[in-house]
Amino acid sequence: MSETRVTGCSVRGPAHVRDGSPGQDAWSAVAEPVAFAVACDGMGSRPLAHEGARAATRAALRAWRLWRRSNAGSPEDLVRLIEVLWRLDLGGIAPAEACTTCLVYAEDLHGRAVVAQLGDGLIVRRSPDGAVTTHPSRKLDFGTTHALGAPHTLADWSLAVAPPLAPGESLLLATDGVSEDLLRDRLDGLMRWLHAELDSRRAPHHWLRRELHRWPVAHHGDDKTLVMLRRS
Amino acid sequence: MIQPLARSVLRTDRASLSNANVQISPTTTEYRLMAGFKDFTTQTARPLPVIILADVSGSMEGGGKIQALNHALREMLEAFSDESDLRAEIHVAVLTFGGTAKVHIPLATSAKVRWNDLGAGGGTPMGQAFELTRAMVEDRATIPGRAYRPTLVLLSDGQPTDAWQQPLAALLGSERASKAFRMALAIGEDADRTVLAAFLANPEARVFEAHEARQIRDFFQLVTMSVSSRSRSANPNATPALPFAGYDV
Repeated sequence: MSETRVTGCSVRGPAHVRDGSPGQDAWSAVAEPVAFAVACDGMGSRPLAHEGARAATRAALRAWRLWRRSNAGSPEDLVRLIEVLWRLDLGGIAPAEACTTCLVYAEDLHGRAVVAQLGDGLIVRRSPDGAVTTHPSRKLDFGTTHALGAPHTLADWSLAVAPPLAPGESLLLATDGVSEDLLRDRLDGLMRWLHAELDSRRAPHHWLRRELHRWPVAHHGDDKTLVMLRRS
Repeated sequence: MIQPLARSVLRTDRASLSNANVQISPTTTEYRLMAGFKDFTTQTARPLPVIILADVSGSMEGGGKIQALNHALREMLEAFSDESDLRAEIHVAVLTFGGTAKVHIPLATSAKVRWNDLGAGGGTPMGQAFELTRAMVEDRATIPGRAYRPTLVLLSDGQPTDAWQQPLAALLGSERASKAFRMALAIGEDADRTVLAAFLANPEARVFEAHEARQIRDFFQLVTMSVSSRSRSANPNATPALPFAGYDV
C-alpha cells in the first residue's frame, strides 16, 4: 500500500516583510486518496495579488474535486474549471487587480495525472532511478509572466498528462522566488536532499520554513513557496 | 553545518571501503549533510541591467557636452556602487556611437566598472547602436532570464547619419528588448526628437531636454533615481513612480 506525504510552505519575501505588505504566494495540497498540489504567485504589480493567489488555490482545489471523478476529463477541462471558479471566488474583486500564476499537479480517480502551469515557477518530478523531469513552462523573461487575470488563452497554459506518482517518486512545485535562483543542473540533488531531510524530520514544515527563511541568494526579495509530494 | 569538504571526506571513505566501480553519488545520509539551499542555488543576486546608448559624435565636442556626459556617467556609477539594501544588483553597460558604434563598457556590476572618459568624433551611427543594443539584450549569456527588466537610456545631440528605422524596429520588436524601460534625452536644439520619441515608443513617455551641458548631469541624476528606486522596491519590474514633472530637465 503506497503512502503519499505532503510538505509545503510559503514565506514572505524580505521586500514584503520590510514594507509590511502581505505575502502574495499561496499553496494547497492533498495527499490521499489521490494526490493534488497547487502553488500560486500573485503578481506583485497588482494591488490584490495576495487575494488572487489565495482564491486560485481554493478554485484549483474545487476544480480538482469535480474533475477527478470523470474518466473523460481532459487537462483543458481542469484548467477551464479553475479559470471559472477563480473568477467566482474573487467575488467583487476585479481579476486584473488580483493576477496570479498557477502551478497544478492533479491525480484523478482513474489512474491519470495532469500537470498544468500558467506563468512562471517550476514543476519537477524525480523518479526512483534518478530521472528528473522538468515540466516545460511558457516562460517569459524579465519577470513578465502569464497569469490568471491577465490577458491569456488556453494555449498559454503548459499542460501534460502523466502517470500518477509511483512509489519512490517525488514532485516539487516552486514559485519563482525559489525557481529563479535554482541551478538547473542540480535539480536531482535538490530533490534528493529535500526528500532525505523532509523524511527525517518530526516537523518537516518547520524545517522547510526555516530553510526558506535562510535563502542564500544575495539581495533576494521575493516570496518563496515550495510544495513537495513524496510517494513511498 | 557541514561544509563541502566534509562531504568529500565521506565520499572518499566510502570509496576506499569498496573494491571496484564505486558510485560516487551521495547517499541519503550524505544528502542530509548538505549545507542547505545554497548547494543548489546560484549565489549571485538578480541583475538589473542599465544600458546607456551615448552619442559621442563630433558635435558632442562643443559646449562642454562630452565633459558633462563623462562627469554625469561617473557620478551615476558611483551612486550605484554606493547603494545598499538593494533588491537587485545593478549592472551597467555603456554603448557609444560616434563614427562607429561600439561597446565602451561591457555589462558588469556597477562596482566593478572601471570608467574611462569618452572622447567625441565622427558621425552619428544610431542605427548601429540600436543593433548593438538588441544583440546585447537578446543574448541570454549576457543578460539571464532571471534578470529584472533592463533600462535603456538613449541620449543624442544630432541627427542619425545611418539608416536607423529598421534597426530600431528590430529592437522594439524583439522579444526581450521590447520589455525594457526606455528613457531618452535630447541635447541641444539640433537633436532629432523624432527618433528619440520613436525609441520611447510610448505616447505617455517624455523625451527629456538638456538645453545646457549641466542638464545632462540632471538627467543622469533622474536615471539614477529611477534605477535606484526600482532596485529598492518590492517589485523591481514595476514601473517606477518618479516626480518627472518637477525635475529640471
